[in-house]
Amino acid sequence: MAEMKRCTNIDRISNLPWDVLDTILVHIPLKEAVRTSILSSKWRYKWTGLSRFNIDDKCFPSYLSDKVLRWKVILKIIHQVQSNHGGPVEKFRLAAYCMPNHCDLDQWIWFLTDKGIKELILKEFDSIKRFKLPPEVFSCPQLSCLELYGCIIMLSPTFRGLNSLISLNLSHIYISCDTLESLIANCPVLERLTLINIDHSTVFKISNLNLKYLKIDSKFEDICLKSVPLLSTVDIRLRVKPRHSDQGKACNLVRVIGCLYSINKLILSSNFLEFLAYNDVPERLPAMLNHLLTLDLRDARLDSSKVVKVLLSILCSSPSLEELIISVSPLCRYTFLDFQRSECLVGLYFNKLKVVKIRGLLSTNHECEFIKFILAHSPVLETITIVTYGGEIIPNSVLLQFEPASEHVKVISLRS
Amino acid sequence: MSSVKKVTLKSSDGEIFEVEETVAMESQTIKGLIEDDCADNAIPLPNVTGHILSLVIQYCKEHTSSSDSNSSKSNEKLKAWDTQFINVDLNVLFDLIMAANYLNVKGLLDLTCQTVADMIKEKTPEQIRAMFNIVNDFTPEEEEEVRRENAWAFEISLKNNNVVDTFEVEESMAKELQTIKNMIEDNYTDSVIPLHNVTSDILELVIEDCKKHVEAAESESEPSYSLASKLIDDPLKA
Repeated sequence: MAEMKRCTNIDRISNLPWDVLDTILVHIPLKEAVRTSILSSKWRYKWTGLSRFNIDDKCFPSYLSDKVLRWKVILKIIHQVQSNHGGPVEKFRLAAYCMPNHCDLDQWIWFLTDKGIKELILKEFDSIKRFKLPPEVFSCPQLSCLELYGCIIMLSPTFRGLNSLISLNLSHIYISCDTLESLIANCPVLERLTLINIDHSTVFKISNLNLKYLKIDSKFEDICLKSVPLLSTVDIRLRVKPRHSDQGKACNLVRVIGCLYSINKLILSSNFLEFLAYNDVPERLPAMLNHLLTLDLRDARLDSSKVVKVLLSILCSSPSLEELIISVSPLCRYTFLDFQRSECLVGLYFNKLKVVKIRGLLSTNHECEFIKFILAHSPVLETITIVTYGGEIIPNSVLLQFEPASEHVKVISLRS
Repeated sequence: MSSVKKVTLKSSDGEIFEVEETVAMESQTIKGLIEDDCADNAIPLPNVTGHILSLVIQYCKEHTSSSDSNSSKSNEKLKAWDTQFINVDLNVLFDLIMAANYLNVKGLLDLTCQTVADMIKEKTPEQIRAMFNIVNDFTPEEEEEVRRENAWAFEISLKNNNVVDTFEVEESMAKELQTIKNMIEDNYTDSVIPLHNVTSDILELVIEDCKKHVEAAESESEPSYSLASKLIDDPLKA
């Protein structure tokens, strides 16, 4: 930006209305905001009244590696804020390597809940799952965004719900199944839920009438998505091999995914696909997923005929699909072994499918069968990108021989 | 063809502006007045001069047409327009901030505040004071007190040129070295001060000595002073 005459003759900044100055100062790193204390006596405590505080590793010089000393610095900051702060604190983020004293942290959180905190991000890296979050957090009327790492969550018996909570992100948290279920169900405006490494909860029971986005990356034994009419994006990765399920129970794919009528985007990773494959996978889901636009399979064990069945079952149930992305697991030695055009597939056309990306193929005949099928049944396909690992690239000339249904399809074949 | 609804705005110095209602509604303040049916005649805006009001209207026009679904203006183009727009005299910038606040035009308030924030970022206190005409009314003792109170925020870095070893030291300590003190006072804007003639092991020794010197000065013990200064001068002659 060209430097125009950028000096004022009078001091116009020190007397700006507080909320305007706050809007300016929250755009600079906390360390620099604190440095304004030296500008003049008027400025000495202005920084303590900020509406947002972001304490992370950038606040500390690199030679200060002792985590106890780092906490002492943080404590100094929060004491100064507590002594001087006038208005509300909207956002507080703590994501620094340090060793928090849990009493001090408790007291500070108490202070924040009193100050009408809206966004609280707390990452306790030191004593993971030993810090019990004060229950006051869960009665904050204005809390709209909560992100926690490494604490223990227990709800008080008087827990009524968080009426303003829109986004909840829990990572490496200790929370029981029932507490989690209750927490999710009692947040009436919740839109986004992220659960990472919540390993003590063996069963995830998720029920929320407003939920739109769900991401899970954790170990679990079972999952139940009930009453989630607005759920539009689901991204699930199961970190452990699924346990063998009792025979005679309903198919997991039908039970978990089959009821997501509003779903727009499905991201299913690794072991979760094997979980979904348990018990007889039908050729098609009982009800169509009319709004599914994107299907993204990651780390997919397509050497398992059951997983292939899961893929085909979803494809047969998604008339509006626009984008198909498949990443084959590097553990596969072959893929699509049993791919055959079943009754269901013969008359199936992907009338909206525009983009296909398949990564990790090994250039086998069976794969070619699958690609041939996709090409022949996708009349509006725009691009298909194929990335093979090792082996030969499938030459474009061969691919074009597959008689694609779409005239203008662009075929991209790469080798990684 | 339906006529586009317009509202009339009157600046503090009597200038009249006729604006489309949708454009005027970018200001939440004006929107409120329109919705409360107080906008039949000219809306007086006693806190905004004609010059500034015309700029605000320009901003609103540009940003209303961009939220129009027919508009093909990309985000990048809009950002480029904003950058050009905000390239104004500092006095005008402050006037725009006050107007955006009074008229409650969120986008403009964010843009103007971000601009001022960018001006403050990575500047030394001396530079900030000069830029905004802030008078330093601290006594030297008070200033020291503030620096000590918030010591962690006032750390700066020294860097050796050959082997990139960064040493972070308190500013008070670094000032013990005249050369560095001069650099700081000349408002060396880089947050890392490169020292071309000093290797890292020598620099380490020098910093150690500075530490002792500062500690000695604080405990008011005379003899250490002269000893330390001898050691300090030599390495820098290398």
